[in-house]
Amino acid sequence: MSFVSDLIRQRARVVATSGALLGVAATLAPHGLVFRENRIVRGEALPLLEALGGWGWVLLGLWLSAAALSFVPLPWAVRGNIVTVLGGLTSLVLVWRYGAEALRYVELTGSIARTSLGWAAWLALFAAYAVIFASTAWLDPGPWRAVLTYLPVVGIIALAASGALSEAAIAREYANSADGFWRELRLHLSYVAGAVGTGIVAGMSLGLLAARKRTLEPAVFGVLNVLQVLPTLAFIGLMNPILTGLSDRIPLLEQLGVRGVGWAPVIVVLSAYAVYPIARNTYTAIVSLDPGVIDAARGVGMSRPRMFAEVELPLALPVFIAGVRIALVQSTAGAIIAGLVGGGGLGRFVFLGAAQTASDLILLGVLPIVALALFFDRIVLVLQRALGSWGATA
Amino acid sequence: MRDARASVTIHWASITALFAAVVWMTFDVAGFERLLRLLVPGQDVVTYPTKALPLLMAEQLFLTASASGIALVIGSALGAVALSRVGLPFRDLIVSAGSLAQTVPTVAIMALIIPATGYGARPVIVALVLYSILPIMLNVIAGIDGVPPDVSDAAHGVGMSPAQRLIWVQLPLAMPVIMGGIKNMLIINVSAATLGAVVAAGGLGMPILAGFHRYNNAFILQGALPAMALALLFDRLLSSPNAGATAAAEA
Amino acid sequence: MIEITGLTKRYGAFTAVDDIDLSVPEGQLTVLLGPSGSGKTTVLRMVNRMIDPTSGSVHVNGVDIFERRPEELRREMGYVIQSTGLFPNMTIRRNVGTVPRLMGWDRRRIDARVDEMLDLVGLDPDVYAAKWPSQLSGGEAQRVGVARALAADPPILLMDEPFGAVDPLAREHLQAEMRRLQAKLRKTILFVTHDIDEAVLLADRVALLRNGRIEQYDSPEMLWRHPANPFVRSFFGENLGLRIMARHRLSAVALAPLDEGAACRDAPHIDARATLKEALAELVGARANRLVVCENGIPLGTVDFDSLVAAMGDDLGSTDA
Repeated sequence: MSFVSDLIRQRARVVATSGALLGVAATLAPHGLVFRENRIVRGEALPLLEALGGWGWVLLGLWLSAAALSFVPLPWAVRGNIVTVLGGLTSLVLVWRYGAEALRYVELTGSIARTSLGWAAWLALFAAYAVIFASTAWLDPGPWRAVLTYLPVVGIIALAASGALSEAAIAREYANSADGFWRELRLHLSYVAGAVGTGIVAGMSLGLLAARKRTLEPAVFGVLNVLQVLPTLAFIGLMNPILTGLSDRIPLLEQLGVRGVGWAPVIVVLSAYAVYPIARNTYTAIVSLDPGVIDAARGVGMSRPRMFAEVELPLALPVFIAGVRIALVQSTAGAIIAGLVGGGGLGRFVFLGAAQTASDLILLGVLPIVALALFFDRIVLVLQRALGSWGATA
Repeated sequence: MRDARASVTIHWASITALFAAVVWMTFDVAGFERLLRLLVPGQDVVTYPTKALPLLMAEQLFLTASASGIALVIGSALGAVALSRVGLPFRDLIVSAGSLAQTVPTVAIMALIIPATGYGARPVIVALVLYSILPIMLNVIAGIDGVPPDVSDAAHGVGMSPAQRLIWVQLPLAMPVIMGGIKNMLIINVSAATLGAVVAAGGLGMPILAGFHRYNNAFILQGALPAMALALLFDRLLSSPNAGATAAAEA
Repeated sequence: MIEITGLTKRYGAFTAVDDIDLSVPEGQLTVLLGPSGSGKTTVLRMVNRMIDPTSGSVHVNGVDIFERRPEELRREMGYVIQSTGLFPNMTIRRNVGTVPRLMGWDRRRIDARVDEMLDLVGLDPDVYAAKWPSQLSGGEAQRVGVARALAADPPILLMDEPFGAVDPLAREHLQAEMRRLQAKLRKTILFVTHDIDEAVLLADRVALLRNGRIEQYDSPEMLWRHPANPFVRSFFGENLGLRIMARHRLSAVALAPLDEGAACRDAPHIDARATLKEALAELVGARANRLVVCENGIPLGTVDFDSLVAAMGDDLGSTDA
């Protein structure tokens, strides 16, 4: 047992050190920060070491100490705490100083100047992720580890909230669209909610149907698989004439605002994609129920509804939730397409940014999508595990 | 038994039908045009004027195939590295970073690398390769990991070298999982290549986007129908003909 | 008491259970024994209406079970199966308390009862009540299964190969426990097994089934002495006598008087609670002509080969647990 965990810790040390060295490389690499005199020009890229001035050396120091401390024969828990904090500090220093440099550059050049993170800076952030990912393996699972792991995320959010990043290029794009951002975010979330909601209702019904009447299983999943395979843009394009036609013929749909473009095709397509994982997992959950347990439930005299509520549902729920999790993450990323067909959402920034070659505007759309997807993934995973632990050592 | 044979028949029949549909829509300009007029009555111009369908289809196939091919090579190689002693410590990180990367929409990657690559086919291919490497890697790892240890052990026991073991025992047993990964990649790439139209990469997304801009449903269908048929064809080609039957037999 | 008459179950052209009559006496353990596919489990499952018979009837204490709601009927019959069927999503406490909960007992009474049941099957409630099924060994899980079946104090227990999936050592323990429990509780038990040793060890009466029919229904001693047909004889085999010896204890045998001054310490001796089979093994193993039978260190008498043979005579009764 302790031999195995020691081996895992040794391996994590390789990862932590490599991560830290990657951080060193990223600090020295050319595209650290990109300074542009306005939104359109290409601008000038500097390595982080140069761009952050003295703080660049601090950053370098942090990486090197993280790499070195991974090897100092301190107790693993102590090493874990120190290196995790160092990893977190690198990302915080990087982001904080980026905000400061952006402000300085604006004061120097004028208010239309933009400062963006170059690819080397993103690489440095990934290196910090790798260091934290590895060094937390030296710590025992528990709330303290969770706090340490997510501290940099909280820190960056705090920095953004404090206004320290207000001149960062993404923040500028955000400021330009101001309340537009929150409107699109709400819209995006409503697409996700609509799709996953439909997915849950339809997917659960179809999954249960296939599980109860096994002869229908190939048909149900055959059709759902076809929907799953259709290319997003083609699918949403196909919905255009169909929904236009339906809306022309059915006044109620027209009053609801169903048109060939806008929210209606987005919801239809995302829902169709969301059904499959939920239906598949519902089916698997029911089919893989232990027949002995079901037999026992009947044998002790449970009624049908009681059996469902006390045994089948609780046992199937974690698998079902796993399906919902897939659908949620998938829809969060998929809803980007709404921006292309007049449905708005965070995708609007992405497609607008693509048209203008404005990376920071694209990021204004992409970063919240990634953050939301990860957030949903984590939260639902916690729920899934909580519902299905049943004494397993997790 | 009869079920199995029936499902094999259905499998090959659907492949033939889809292939025929793709070929017909691509090359029978007049015939496809008649169909579009039927589907979208009252539209004067039903054929996307900028590029002919064979060219669009060729672009679509080129984008999909080149990205998938490159990703397959790099992904398998990196998968092999991850399975080696050197890569072992990094496996958890790869899995974790992989699931993180999957939350980034492909079209966003395309858009983000435009400054580096310019518009056209290049951002699409680079984005799709970047996006596809990790799933291929993960499937190679999962496939080899999924080989029962006693089978690998037996191969070791009969005197195979590690390389022989990989080629004769582990890879063949891991193939279904790896093929599953390739199938998913291809389907994602067909879909994403359609979106490549957004960054002017050509392909079947072009008429669809033009259709949206010009309120011409015939253009949309002209891109959408072949794209769908192509995706379904790939899906069928890379699925086991017995998948349906085995599922029914297990039940 | 369970009265089965003309019970038949057909699946299409296949007859799983063929016109069976069987009367299971109150307070006795009746084993349904037979090779796989003989219909024993089907009979058991028709008694608590898990399977509906094609024809025939089952009466429990004079009441036709088809007049009863299946759920209520089942709550009055403890049910133990090979795979234990413990609910993985419930703690041991909740598992054992299932039937009392279904019957609407209040919580304190259920809790007290669960503790009592776990004690009864030899599991410390303080240790086990809060555990989950995934944390138990096979033998422990099966004990919990028995505890769950007994929780609402049902007069009848239905057990379907309850010890079939546990390892041999744990199985022997469980069988011994089962004998102890039954001696104490005197439930009416219908017990399905294909294990001859288990059947002979536990049964008051054995119904030997083949192809959905009962070949013979009798005490193990009668099956040994008076097999109804060659199938019965060959099914139980040459060892049946030895197996029967394992059913009886020395304490129930007429012992020969002691020699003057015999003591338990130096002479070859054996505990009075040992079975006849163990006594035989000890005689052979110690190369002795006779053994002193002792109880708490006090010699009671002696046993020799002749007295063992005599004890296995025609008047051999049923088990004495």
